[in-house]
Amino acid sequence: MDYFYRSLPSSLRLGRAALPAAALLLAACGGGGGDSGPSSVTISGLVEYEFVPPNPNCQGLDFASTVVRPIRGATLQLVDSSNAELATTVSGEDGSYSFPGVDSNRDLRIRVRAELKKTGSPSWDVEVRDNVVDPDDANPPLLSDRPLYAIVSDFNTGNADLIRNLTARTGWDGSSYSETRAAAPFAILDTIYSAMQLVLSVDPDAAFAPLDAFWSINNTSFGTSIDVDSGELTTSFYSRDTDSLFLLGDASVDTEEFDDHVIVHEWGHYFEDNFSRTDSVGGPHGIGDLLDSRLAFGEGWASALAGIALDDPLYCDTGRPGTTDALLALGLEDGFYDPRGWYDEVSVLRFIYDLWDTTDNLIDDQTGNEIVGAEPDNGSIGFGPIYDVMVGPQAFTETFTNIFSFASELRPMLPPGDQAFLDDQLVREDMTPGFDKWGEGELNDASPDGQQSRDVLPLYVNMPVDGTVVNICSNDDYDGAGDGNKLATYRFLRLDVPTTSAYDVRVVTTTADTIPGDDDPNDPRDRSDPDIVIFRDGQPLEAGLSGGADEELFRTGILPGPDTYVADLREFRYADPDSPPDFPNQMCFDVSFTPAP
Amino acid sequence: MNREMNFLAAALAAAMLSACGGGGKQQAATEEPGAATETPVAVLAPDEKYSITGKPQGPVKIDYRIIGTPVVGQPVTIDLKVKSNVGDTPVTLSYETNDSTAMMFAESQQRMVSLAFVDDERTSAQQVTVIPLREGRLFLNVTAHMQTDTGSLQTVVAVPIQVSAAPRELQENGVVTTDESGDLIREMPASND
Repeated sequence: MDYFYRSLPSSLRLGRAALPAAALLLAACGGGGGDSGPSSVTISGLVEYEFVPPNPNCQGLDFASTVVRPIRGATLQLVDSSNAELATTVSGEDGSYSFPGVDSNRDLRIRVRAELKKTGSPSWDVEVRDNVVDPDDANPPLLSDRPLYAIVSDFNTGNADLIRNLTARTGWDGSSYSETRAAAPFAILDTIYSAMQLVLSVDPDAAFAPLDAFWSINNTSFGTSIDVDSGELTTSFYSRDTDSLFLLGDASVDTEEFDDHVIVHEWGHYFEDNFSRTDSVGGPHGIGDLLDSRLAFGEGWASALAGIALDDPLYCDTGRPGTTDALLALGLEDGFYDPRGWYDEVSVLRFIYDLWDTTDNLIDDQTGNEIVGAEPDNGSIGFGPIYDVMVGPQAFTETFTNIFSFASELRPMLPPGDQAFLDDQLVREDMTPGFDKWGEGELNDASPDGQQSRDVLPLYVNMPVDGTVVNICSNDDYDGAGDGNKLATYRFLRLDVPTTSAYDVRVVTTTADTIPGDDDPNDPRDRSDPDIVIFRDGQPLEAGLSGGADEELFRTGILPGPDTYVADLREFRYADPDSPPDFPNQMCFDVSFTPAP
Repeated sequence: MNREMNFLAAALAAAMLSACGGGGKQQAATEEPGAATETPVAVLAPDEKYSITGKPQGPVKIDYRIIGTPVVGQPVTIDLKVKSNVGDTPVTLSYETNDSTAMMFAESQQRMVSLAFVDDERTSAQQVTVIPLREGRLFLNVTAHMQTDTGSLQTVVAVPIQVSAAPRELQENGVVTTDESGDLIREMPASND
């Protein structure tokens, strides 16, 4: 049954065969056209969505302050009762659209697709889809083929030009979501649109890689495993494997559609992955954690980009709708969570955000008076140099991507005054100006109060490749939860390969790993498991990732030289959820690289 | 290790792609949108945390472990480990089910507890006991509350309690149909002003 017919009140429904006859009767009576109007009309109007801002200080969503915003750049289709597309257009910056030359007196549908499509230069391809599938469906569609969100409106074209405004509503009834949550996909789409405008402001010809944003009212957070088919996500995230965002929507736990900073944060990972390069190890991270420098940079970058793209220095992550839950309320100007440093995502985000923002922290916006005790941030380099270093040197650095590669490559691109400004920002975040991309010169070793840190600096161990044995240690001092992605868990090696050769890599555990009370010392799960991966310009080339106890021994393929490679080395048990609870907190290894005979 | 083998496969595949000049993200970014092929992955492997980058969590972290196999009508205990990155700021933990027909609390179970952090790592261990009332995938919401200078902050974890093999009940939002090309569309009604 046709959808427009199905939508008629039952009292008006006739048998399908009766409809043409009824039309003939109307025509015979002079009621069906003839001199009643033009043969074609123009259908136009606005397409909009409802957006719910946060309460002050991110204390939940403020539904009473819901605003209507234009749906920008979305695809609109005009389709007939057989689902055939009659016309298509794209909504304007103000959400306006127009379909000229439409047959009069026809029953048609407008479909607004939650997608942004443009070919040529610039170009983009963004779609908001539902990732959740029927658990009884034995052959669910591929992720990329899952349903695209759209709002629809059925109408008769009539015999005069028609204004038809469409709005995607939140579905909120004052206390809960009792209606279809139509606004959500369009809020996500429009936030991505805003982020893209930031890139286009400095690169008008940007080519955006295809992006799917997956959202569902069934997307919920829990635990440690991910099942996108059922919407069990653990959290909102960007997946490098699929170039996709996955966003929470479960109204009983946490929703993301109106948390625009969270959406741009995840989009920032997409940007870093597709326009620049990320060597982040990913995984769980919380404010105040001391992170692997690659993870700290990726997360700080993404949060800073959210503040920049939205021009809003308060990063809000609201909780369950209808409550005053704030999951995160982070002032990008003044949100401090010590300790600061290159391993802290908040330090990274404040460094990048303050390079961009024009707000002088020393002057009160309202009064113009000096703020006593404020920290210096009296300049701006704009977004252009930040973008240039991300798509340039940061994308091709021979080091891992982190604040050292970013800042040391950015600094010489700036005029002297801005270099001093950059140095000031580093000092404020407890970093050491003058460091190079290898972290040489950095003095902050994350020492706890009055204690000596272990295995933090130097960031890279200069590893000879002539058979020399170097003892290198990894620890979980900063990783109480066993996430395996915190500071000092991975150790970085710099390998300056003088000549083209294969190499015999040898990593042997030197720390005693027999655990008191171990019920089976021969169980490899209770023993050390060193892992090592060799990279060139961010690409993993060789890996020693066996599950064997206490050693990794392998011969690499041919490594062209002279060239510089990097490697990361870790104790896998620090990321192993089944690791014995009494496993030592520091493991050391004899490491050597020997040219193969 | 599965994770290790997965990573090895991914690493070597990436290396091979790189060697062939066909796998670079920069190259993908310069292709015409319509020409790009999407990765035919239907489900992420459950242990993909190293290829995903999630949103920042608050300064309080909650880990959990369910003890035993949940059964309808039988108490099930969840071990909780709460870690705080905010010095001596007090943290309160609360427990809630979002469906009172699905799960109830044991009579002696407190719904809210103030946490004391006793070790250098600022961690606190707690236990919560609930009684499933029906089969399915049920959820216990655990929320950690703390006060900051600008208001309150919460960390929420939904603990899944799987009772028998019955699946979680999914909600509908709009109607799935197809467009003129046969592609799946989830259509939702627009409001007409």
